[in-house]
Formats: sequence, C-alpha cells, structure tokens
Amino acid sequence: MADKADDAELVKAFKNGVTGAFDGLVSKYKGPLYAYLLRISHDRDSADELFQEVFIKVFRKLSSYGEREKFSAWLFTVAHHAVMDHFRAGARRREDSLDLSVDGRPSLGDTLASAEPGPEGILERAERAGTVQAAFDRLSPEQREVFILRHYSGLSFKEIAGITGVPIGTVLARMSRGLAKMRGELAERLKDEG
Amino acid sequence: MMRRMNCPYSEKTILYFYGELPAGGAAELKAHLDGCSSCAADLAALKSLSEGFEVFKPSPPPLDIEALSAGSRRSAAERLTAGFMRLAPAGAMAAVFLVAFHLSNRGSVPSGWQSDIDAGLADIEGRIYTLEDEMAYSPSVDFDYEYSDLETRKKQADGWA
Repeated sequence: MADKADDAELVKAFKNGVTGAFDGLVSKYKGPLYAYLLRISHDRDSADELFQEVFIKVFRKLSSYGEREKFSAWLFTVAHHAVMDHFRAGARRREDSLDLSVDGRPSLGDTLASAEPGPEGILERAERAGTVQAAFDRLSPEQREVFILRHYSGLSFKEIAGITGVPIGTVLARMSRGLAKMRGELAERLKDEG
Repeated sequence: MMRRMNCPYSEKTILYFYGELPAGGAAELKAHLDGCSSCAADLAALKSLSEGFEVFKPSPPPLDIEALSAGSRRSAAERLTAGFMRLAPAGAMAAVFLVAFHLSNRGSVPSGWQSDIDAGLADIEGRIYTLEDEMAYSPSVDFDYEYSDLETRKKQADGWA
C-alpha cells in the first residue's frame, strides 16, 4: 500500500495535468479496492460495476480533493458510500447476497470430521476446511465491512470510524460481536456434527 | 482456562492483533491471553481470517483510463444537460407568464408616465411652483427689495456710487 507522501505527490501531479499520475493511483489501489468490493457485495458483477463507479467518481472529484486526509481513507470513503448506495438501491439483491455464502465453498457439516472441545481445536480444523471464511461470510454486512476495511485498506480503526461514520467504539464492538458470532457458530456446528 | 463468550478484553485483543494497542497494554493483554480461552480464540480467528484475506486476491476488471476520462467528461456534460433540463420548464413557464401578462394588459394599463403615480407627482410639482411664486411676491421679498433700495440710495448720498 502506498504511503501518504507518494499518494500526495501523485494527486498533485494529476492536478497539474499529468494524467498518468492517475494510473499510478489506480495501480496501487485497484487490488485492495476490488477485494473489498467483492468481499462486501458477494457478487462479481456488482463488484465490477462498483469498481468502475468508484474510480469514475474519484477521477471526477480528485481535482477538488483537499489532501488534508489520507488519499486511501478518501478512496475507501467513496467506495463505502458507493456500496451503501448499491445496497440501498437493490434491497432485494442485498437480501439474496447477504444470506448466502460464496459459491462453491464447502459447508461446515461437510468439512468438519469430528467434534473436539476447545476453541484452538475448533479453529484449527475450521481453518483447514475454510469454514472460518464461510462463517465470516454469514456475518452482517456492517460486521464484515470493518474486518474487510481493516485488512484491505490498511487504515487504522480511527480512520475506519471516519469512513463508516460511526464512533471507534462501535467499530470495535462490531468486530468483537462478529468474532463471538463466528466462534458460536463454529462451536454449534461442531456439536451438531458430533 | 477461563471461557467466556464476551470477555471485556475482547476489543483490546483486536487492537493488539492489529498493532494498535499501546506498549503497556500489550504486555497486560499477553498475560490475560494465557488465562482466557475466549480472547485466545478471538486471536486465533483473527489470524485465520487475515490469512484467508491474504490469499484472496481477485483480479480486478480492466480499467481504461481514457474511457474513464471520457466517462467523467460525459458525466459532467450529462449533469449540465440535466441541470438545463430541470431549469428549462421553469424558464418556459416564466416566459409564458410574461407574454400573457403583457398581452392581457395591452392598451388598458397606462404606462408609467400616464399612471396615477405620475399624476400625483405632477400635482406636487405644480404646488411647488405656486409656493415659489407666492414666496417671490411675499411681503418679505418686498421688504428685502426696499431695504436694498434704501442702501443704494444711502450710498449714492454718501457719494460712493
């Protein structure tokens, strides 16, 4: 991920008419941004559409970007709003995508061979089968978003609070509840399997 | 080992994992992790999730910068057109109203100089002229004239003129 100085130089160059500077920003952020969009939308077509939309908005608004905040924070704020608009516009699509795990992923029942007490044991086997990711995909979008943003944007919790428009305590509480829910689900599944 | 679903150290564990816990707090948390299975499980889950995120690197669709630029310009033009289209009906309504107003009042409403206001102003102006005339021929004016005449005659008597 680019540091703030590099980004500021690219933004400044773009404002001075160096169109190629935008290429530099795109090449640095397209990977993390697309991963964020795909993980949050659970739909490749939507992610592709949002990806184009976010970069068009960034391209259009970059000349008025104040440079006071970190470029990556600004970029992910634009992306967050695009995602929220997308979910609001397609309530039906949201319902479908949020209730389903990613296609082709094995279920917990299929992958967990036997019950074993203790969280380390649970997580070890769950990780092996990819079930932690499956449990993660069943979290609420608000809970998933803080994990995804923290990982792919590389921003601090304070900056993520700014992006999502909630206090930092809420960001951490969402994450904490998400983890508890995941652990609870994994333990429950193991019990059922046993 | 203590096992709780909602340990008060849960959020500190998250901050610790992402390197956002102050140094002093980190030492305290490490000690806590030894005795709390809930936080230890949270930490393990975070590690597992991050590893999953790390290997998840989908290929983004191609992004044509030239097309992006064109799209942006088109968007600006579309916004301008949309703005014009929003204002056009209001402008048309205003024009229709003005034309209708002009036609409906054609020949019946006096122009400014023919209006009642103008008539009132003319009346006031006439009264001002009258007052000026009255002042010009007032006794005080006669007095002034006679006083001036006396002064002239005095000067003549004194041999100045």
